[in-house]
Amino acid sequence: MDLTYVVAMGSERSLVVRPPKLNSLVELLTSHGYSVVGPILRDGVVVLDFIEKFDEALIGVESAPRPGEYRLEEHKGAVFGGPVGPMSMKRWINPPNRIAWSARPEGDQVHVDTPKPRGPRAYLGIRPCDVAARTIFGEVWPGHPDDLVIVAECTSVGETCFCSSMGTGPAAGEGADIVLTEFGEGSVLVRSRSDRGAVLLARMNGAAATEDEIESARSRVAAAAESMVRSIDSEAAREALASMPDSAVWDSVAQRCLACANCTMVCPTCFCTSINDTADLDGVVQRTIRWDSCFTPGFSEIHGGVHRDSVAARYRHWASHKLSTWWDQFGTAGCVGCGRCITWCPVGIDITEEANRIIKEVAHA
Amino acid sequence: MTRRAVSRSSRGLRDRRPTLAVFKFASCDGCQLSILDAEDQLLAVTEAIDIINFPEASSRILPGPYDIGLVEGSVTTSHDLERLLEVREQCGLLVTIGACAMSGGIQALRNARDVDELAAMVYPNPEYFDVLEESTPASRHVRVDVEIPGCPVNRRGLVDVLGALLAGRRPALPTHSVCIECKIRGTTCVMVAKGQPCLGPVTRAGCGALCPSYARGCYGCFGPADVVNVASLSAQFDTEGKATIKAGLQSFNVGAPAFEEAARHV
Ligand code: SF4
Ligand code: SF4
Ligand code: SF4
Repeated sequence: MDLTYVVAMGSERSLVVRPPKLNSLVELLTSHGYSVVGPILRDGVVVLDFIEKFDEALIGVESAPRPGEYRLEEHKGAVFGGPVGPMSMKRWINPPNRIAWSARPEGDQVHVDTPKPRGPRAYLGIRPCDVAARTIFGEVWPGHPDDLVIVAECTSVGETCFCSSMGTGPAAGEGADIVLTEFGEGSVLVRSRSDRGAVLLARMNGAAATEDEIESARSRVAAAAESMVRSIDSEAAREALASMPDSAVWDSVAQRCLACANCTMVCPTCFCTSINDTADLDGVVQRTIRWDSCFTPGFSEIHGGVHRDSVAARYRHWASHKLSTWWDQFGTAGCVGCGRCITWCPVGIDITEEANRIIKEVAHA
Repeated sequence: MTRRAVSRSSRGLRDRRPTLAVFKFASCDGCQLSILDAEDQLLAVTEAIDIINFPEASSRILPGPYDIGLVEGSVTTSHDLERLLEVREQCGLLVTIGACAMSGGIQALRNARDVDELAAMVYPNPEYFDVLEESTPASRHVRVDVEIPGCPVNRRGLVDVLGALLAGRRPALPTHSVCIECKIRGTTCVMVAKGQPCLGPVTRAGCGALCPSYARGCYGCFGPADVVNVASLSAQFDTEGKATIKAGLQSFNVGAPAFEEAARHV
């Protein structure tokens, strides 16, 4: 399938690429020294990985996330695989199990090795909620200053998405260098949002985007926003969640919650890690930093015991942090409405449903 | 990797090479084989530790006491029990390896049945058959210092425990769900993406999410995680799926109280 780039620079200059292939964009990024991370299809799921060329298997299919369920569906005109899959940029910014340093004996010395700093990366085809999540996550784990983000606006949404109500999508907000918008049959509108993005765009061959094309892309994104079925009143949630520590809602979630931690693993803003030191039999010592979760009892174990000692307390802590106490800590919500925690929860526990129950409880109190 | 030299204050390893013995009770030997399967680490193991009693590997068997004793298998006969008490006496640190030694193993399936009836079904002369009512874990009878879960144990986990004991640090044996390992590995969730029954959310990590990485559900061979909510998990499945969940609970770790209890409600 041929893809059309319609390239628009600012509002005045624009180009159309022919013959059109998304691969030329990947090549351009690679030639500028970026390693490119983008969506690919693996095991029937859209995941992120290092790519050398655009995965054409994505064309015409998209993620269909539902509570506790993920399937792939055919969708004519889809280019980047639809709504988010399980992985976000968090996996590349702060890998799930990374070596902080290792040390080994050598004669009467100990040599300490630390990992080499990596080069710049380009994240391609990232959804708007995840771009917002990168900024939030960056408060704790900043990415590389030279990383480039190429966002793909959403023109169709999943059942678990609620970015609209969290103010992060489906139109691209801040934090991206280049904005792509799928429209029509495999056509992609390309716009720059930063100086670096503009420099790259200037190197892309393409035809001008017409006003009509730009409008068509915009209206598709707007229609996507309209079609979203889930929402949270973010302001109300901020007030309500932290004020209801004894709500029966928490106990009712705990009946269903497995404390399996999938929600925190897939959440693009959940930043918690644990530090593990191991020593092998040769005397090589390694310190690793590994994703951890507030859903495990061990995570809140301090001298004297576990201080979040029930599943209800752990779910309450997590949901309240995402929607309420995160504001006090960082000045934003900790949730971007990507819906991953709903999709990848094996029992489909829905943060929007639980938050809305609490909000209602407060309103009726 | 950049390199920095710092002065070396202590070696961490003990002055004397500690001795180790391996004891087999009712089991299939699979966990002992995991020691031999430690490949790249095996040489380091034998350099750091003097394995002086390991009949599966060597005919050189020296008498105790031993610094470390590894116990494989469950207690199923009165002779087992006597021997376990002796083993405990002889070993400074007692480490159990595998599901049998930790929860009674697959042979604990008989705990809920009448042993004499079962013996009559299997043996032509059950009167020669002398066995305890239940297959039980070592910890039911003696103090156990470390329990390594799994059927079989994960060899990296095993080597890590030995390394930890030598270094005097706490072994890094996770007690959380397999799901965390699944996500860390980047494996596709078979339950969410394929609708397959998976015991991962209630099963203790340590295998590295082996089964899901081969596109099949976890069947619980590492035993219960620190939170086990099977009622909620099994509610996701139809009758056939529930039966798969139940079969997982009632296999290698059927004797683990959390699984035993959970299976009653599926
Ligand atoms: S809490 Fe859920 S919806 Fe919100 S950002 Fe995290 S995974 Fe996405
Ligand atoms: S909310 Fe869902 S994904 Fe999160 S710990 Fe509970 S069961 Fe697991
Ligand atoms: S495949 Fe099983 S172990 Fe892995 S995340 Fe899914 S439910 Fe958990």
